[in-house]
Amino acid sequence: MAWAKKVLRVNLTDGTISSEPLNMEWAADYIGQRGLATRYLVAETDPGCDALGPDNKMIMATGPLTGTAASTGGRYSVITKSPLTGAVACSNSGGFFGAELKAAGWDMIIFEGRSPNPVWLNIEDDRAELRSADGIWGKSVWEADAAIHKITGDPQTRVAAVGRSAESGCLYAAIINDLHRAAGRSGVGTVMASKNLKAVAVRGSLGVANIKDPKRFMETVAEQKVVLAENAVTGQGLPALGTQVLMNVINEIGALPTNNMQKTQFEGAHSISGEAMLEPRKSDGKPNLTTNAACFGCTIACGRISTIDPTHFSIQDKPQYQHNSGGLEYEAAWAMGADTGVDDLDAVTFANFVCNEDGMDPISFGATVAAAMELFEKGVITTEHTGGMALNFGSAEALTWCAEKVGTGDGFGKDLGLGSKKLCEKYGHPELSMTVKGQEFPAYDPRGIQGMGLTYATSNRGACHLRSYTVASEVLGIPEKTDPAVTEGKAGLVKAFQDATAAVDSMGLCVFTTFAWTLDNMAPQLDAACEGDWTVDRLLEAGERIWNLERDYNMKAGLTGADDNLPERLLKEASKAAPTEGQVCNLHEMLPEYYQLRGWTTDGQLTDEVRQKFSLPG
Amino acid sequence: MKIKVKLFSSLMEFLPPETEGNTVELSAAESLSCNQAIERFRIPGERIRVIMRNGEFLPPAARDDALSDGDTLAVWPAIQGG
Repeated sequence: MAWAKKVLRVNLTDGTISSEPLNMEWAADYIGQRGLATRYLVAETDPGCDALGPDNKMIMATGPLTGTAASTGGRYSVITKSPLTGAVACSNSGGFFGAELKAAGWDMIIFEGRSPNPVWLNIEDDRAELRSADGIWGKSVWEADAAIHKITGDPQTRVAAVGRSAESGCLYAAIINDLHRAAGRSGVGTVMASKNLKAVAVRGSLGVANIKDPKRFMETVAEQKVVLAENAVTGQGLPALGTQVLMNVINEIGALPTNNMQKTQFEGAHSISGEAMLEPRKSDGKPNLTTNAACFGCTIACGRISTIDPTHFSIQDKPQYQHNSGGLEYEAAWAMGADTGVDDLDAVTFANFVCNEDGMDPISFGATVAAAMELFEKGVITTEHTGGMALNFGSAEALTWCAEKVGTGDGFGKDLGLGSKKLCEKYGHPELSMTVKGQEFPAYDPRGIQGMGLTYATSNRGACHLRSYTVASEVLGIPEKTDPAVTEGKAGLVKAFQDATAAVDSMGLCVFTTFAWTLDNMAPQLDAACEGDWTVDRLLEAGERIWNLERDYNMKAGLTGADDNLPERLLKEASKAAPTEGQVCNLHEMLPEYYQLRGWTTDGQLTDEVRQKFSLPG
Repeated sequence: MKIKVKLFSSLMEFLPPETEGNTVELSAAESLSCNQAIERFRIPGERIRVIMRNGEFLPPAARDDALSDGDTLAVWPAIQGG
């Protein structure tokens, strides 16, 4: 229970929609959301398919706790094959869309084929229909959201949509729901647009009524909310400064990648930090941060709502940016700030607004701009390529220009939409792309935080911090402090984080709860909500099974152990910042032990023993 | 000797009112420890979660060790990421 036990299948090629029961045997092994939808993807698609072809499928999936009273239980994920990496894509989003989908009575939607004409899907409880996207295709996410709300006439309709960047083929396009929450990474929005699907709108009135033991569920949910409230991170830190508190922390330890990871400290870090977002500005006396905000059911409320300085050059004559909107989180502020050398908080906030309006992953966007800036610095890209714009590191004008170009797919924006890897390949310098498996790095330099090097190298969706956030241990001391400079013990740490996070992502909860909760806090909630006995051991086993299933998909898609690697810059060019001076990432000291702990071969392939242990499909 | 102390996030409320930015320079006797330096700001102990000395994590057991001239301490309440 807690699962709605219903799947909505939408064949876009022939325009048919059907309902079918959720495979509960798979749910017992893969929980929901990330794990369960990956099981469906594996069963129904060829991993070797063209990610942007009609044979790829795209699944929007909730977890069993999505839409319930559990704190942060509003998550959904989008699972598909990534056009950016060629690997499995799984992008997780908050907001209210996921809970609304569940309240309409659906665990997941499977989209297959490709519509002959642009369409959007409207769901009202058990009724679903495809509608023409005439008049909506070609619009931004914000415009599409407004148009769809006008059609439904219901302010509580929740909309997930792609913007113009996805329509023009940007390979790191996101799906944006509730105006500024993103299923951001790996180009899931590009896949959606390739299917001629502009948006999904949903209104649910059914709720999640089939909790296994409602009394025990509400008791344990209430107990665990107290744990979140009384924890200094989830009760005070995240609401106050959000994830942006990290900007100064990571800069202080010399692990803040700067100027396309050429440096590991940024002189302008404070100017784009969480602390700076609280400082009143001269023009109107208001700070960048207006308030924090919460997703469905969340008692942490880390979200940022911000305004841009009304006198800032970026928003003159652009009324859509002259009010409160989704503000900077750490990864976005780093990618569009430190990695491009831009210390103008308003310019970075503007780029963030554009990423929300036209649906780009701000991490991949910022890191791709950083790569373009290094190509410009080296004279490879010139103003002839850009049409006149000088892409200098530190240029706020260049950053905001790039955002608008990628947002609309205009001119040089097409090149920037390729992502860092293909951009650098196109211009003959693949070594300047700071990516793993084609996906851009997030905001922690693995020369200063060794475990993150292994995390990035082995992540099933390419460079990503959310698959194994060892920063918690190596920098913040949660649950136990480890030395970020050493490699010993990091293989086990990474594996433990990867398996636990796969379970969290499959339940419908937010990974930020793990600053206060462990699986000990989550298992009783799942167990009270769902049939079957859900223990910590079972969750960890499911997490490890999910990790191996994703890995298996990637191997069948053509990736190999050689793809578990980092750019040479991080392996050979030592950090020059004082706290990490002389350090490189010693990946080779961690990877063999990691393979061993996983039970894989020495070249990173799954073994028959692992397949049998987790009953993986053939 | 002279040391620098940086207070971040919600600990900035403990900075002296005239402070510009979040950094204060302290003059002290040779034997000053990290704990002694931070006591000057009257921050309740339970508010302090992470201390870095010259960019390196300073474990609680080492916070009574003597500081050196030119050291920089950076102090946070509970911090988080993602």
